[in-house]
Amino acid sequence: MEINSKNRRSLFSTFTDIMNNVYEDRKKDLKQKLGQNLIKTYLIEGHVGKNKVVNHNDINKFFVDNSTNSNFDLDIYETDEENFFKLIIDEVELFLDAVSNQRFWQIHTAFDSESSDEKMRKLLRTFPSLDRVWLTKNLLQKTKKYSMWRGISLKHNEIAEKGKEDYEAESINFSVNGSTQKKVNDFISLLKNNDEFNYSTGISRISVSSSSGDGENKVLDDIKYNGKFSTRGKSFNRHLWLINKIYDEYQEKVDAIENDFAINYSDNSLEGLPINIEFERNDLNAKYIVETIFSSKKPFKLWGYPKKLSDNYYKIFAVDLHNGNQGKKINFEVTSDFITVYLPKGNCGNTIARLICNIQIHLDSMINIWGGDGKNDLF
Amino acid sequence: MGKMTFSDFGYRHENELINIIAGLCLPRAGFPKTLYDLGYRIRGFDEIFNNHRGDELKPDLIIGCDNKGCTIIFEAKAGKNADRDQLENYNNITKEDLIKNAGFSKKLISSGHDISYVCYEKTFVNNEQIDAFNNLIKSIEGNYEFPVIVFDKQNAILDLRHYSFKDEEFNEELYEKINIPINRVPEIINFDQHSDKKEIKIEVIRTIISYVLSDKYKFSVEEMLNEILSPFPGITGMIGSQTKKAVKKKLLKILKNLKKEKPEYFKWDGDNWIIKPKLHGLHPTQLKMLLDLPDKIEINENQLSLFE
Repeated sequence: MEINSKNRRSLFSTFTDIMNNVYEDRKKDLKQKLGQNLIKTYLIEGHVGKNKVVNHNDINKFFVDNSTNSNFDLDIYETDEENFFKLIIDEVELFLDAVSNQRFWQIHTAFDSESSDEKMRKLLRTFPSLDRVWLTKNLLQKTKKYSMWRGISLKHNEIAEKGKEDYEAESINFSVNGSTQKKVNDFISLLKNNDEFNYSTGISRISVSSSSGDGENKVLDDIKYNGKFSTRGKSFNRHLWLINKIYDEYQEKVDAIENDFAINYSDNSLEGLPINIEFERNDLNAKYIVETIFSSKKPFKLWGYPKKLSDNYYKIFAVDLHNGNQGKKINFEVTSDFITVYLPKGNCGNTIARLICNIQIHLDSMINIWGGDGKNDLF
Repeated sequence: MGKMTFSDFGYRHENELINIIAGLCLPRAGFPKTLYDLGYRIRGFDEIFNNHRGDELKPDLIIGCDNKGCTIIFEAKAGKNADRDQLENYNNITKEDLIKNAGFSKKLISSGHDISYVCYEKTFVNNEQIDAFNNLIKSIEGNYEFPVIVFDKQNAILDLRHYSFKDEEFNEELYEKINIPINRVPEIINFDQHSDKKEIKIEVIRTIISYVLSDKYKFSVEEMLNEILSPFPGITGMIGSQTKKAVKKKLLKILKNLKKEKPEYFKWDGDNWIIKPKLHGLHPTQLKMLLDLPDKIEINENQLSLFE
């Protein structure tokens, strides 16, 4: 399947056509036809220019240079529209839309999930300046203001204690699909009020329906916490509206972290503030938290030297090994009750979103995140 | 019970005292944010400026509150008496000096400024208990109206003992005494002149990892020095030259030691330090090796000193 859209309007119209074919056939219980995959959008942060305004040519050059240098099979095609490109990785077509923002990109594809997920993973592995967008529990919950929840996946994946990797670590997965918002909410409340499970309500996926007016443009989107959207329904434009609602909030949060919380010394003043992550769980110990987060391994991918200040208190001199922020230093303080993050200026704000998402899935989904005067609404 | 030693109390010289005051200006879990709530923010560390007489001053910490127009200049004393010349130089700071010679805004000093000394109640020098507060107060009382903040580490209490600040709310908070969670004092300043090689080596290793991940495989000693003094941009420029000199001396030894320990990874080309290609991939085993390196320094250094 080849889509030869030279501008976004043409692409969006093609996607709407594809969605409607899918939509009509599914209604009739027909089998999914080849080429009728759900349209998918991946939200990706591209750090192409270091501290400079990025333009169309920079993005083009970034892909050409990096794929050449790393022998990566990627072709980039310019379109008639500035900052809008077609990428082909091993025959999989991806449309890169950096028109409204040259850092916060949207990558759309009509290819099947298996192929597109694999190519996205490959792309991120090869290009350390790119990273996914990390949608925290708080951000996902805000979608309730403008959409109806139809399903949810809650996940808790414990990471085995150092030296006890042979033991089976706890893994909890709960899913509700094709349901009503009330049932989804009741389901979450049920778990939240249970002492055995309240820490395991990290959200890995939500399904939301969204429409305006008489529902002619209704869409059902599956939104994963790592910024992948899969949509079905009648209108690609409505899917875009939904994405942009979440993405705008995400960008605001990232900007706030970088502008108000990243620490530096300028104009005779120490600017920035520590970011506090407080645990609700009381059965964690500082040593386990330190070994889990600063193991250099996935999912946290942070290298950190722990300086033990007391039995339950560590100062960590860390380096981010993760895409998008690779090589940046970050200071942490870790106790069994809280983590304080000192983010030096120059770090990407999405580092905090990633850290929070991973803590919510692997350690404690009930954490409170605050900084400055604000309470619990930092990310 | 044996006699308590310096290390039993873990006194950290002036840095701990400064970090306590700075910590009160930061909203941070597990530590009071008394001064932050009053509107005080950190304005400078070790900043050098002159008073109108031309005397050089280098206060350990300056904090200020825009809304109140109050600026407070702190000098920390871990055990020594306050130097007479220094006291006199501080006493001769005027509002104009802070605006003209240190670049502070008129608004920040509109209600005036205070010079404050912060000290321990008691401290230890060479394992001898020193009556730090009483020593300090001898040189201040009757001569200067500097408010003195005392940290009683054994009881983890901070309070105001001598004179008062222009800001009444500030006085009230300190008169009520502030409980300081001793094990939660932030470390805003990485190093001082007394920092040991292990502390510095941790930063060196971290910086090497950061360099490799940013494809930087060559660095000068000066570059590394600026990187390790503070991870926060701009702070390095505020650190005094004596501290820099002391840290640089230790840094040179650490780099030489690293080259000796890991010749396969590091070399000196006469102008710069080179990170060899073998470390450029930075695989998990190497990350683990780098994590273990700071803890090895004591053994290696002791061995070296035996030879020396």
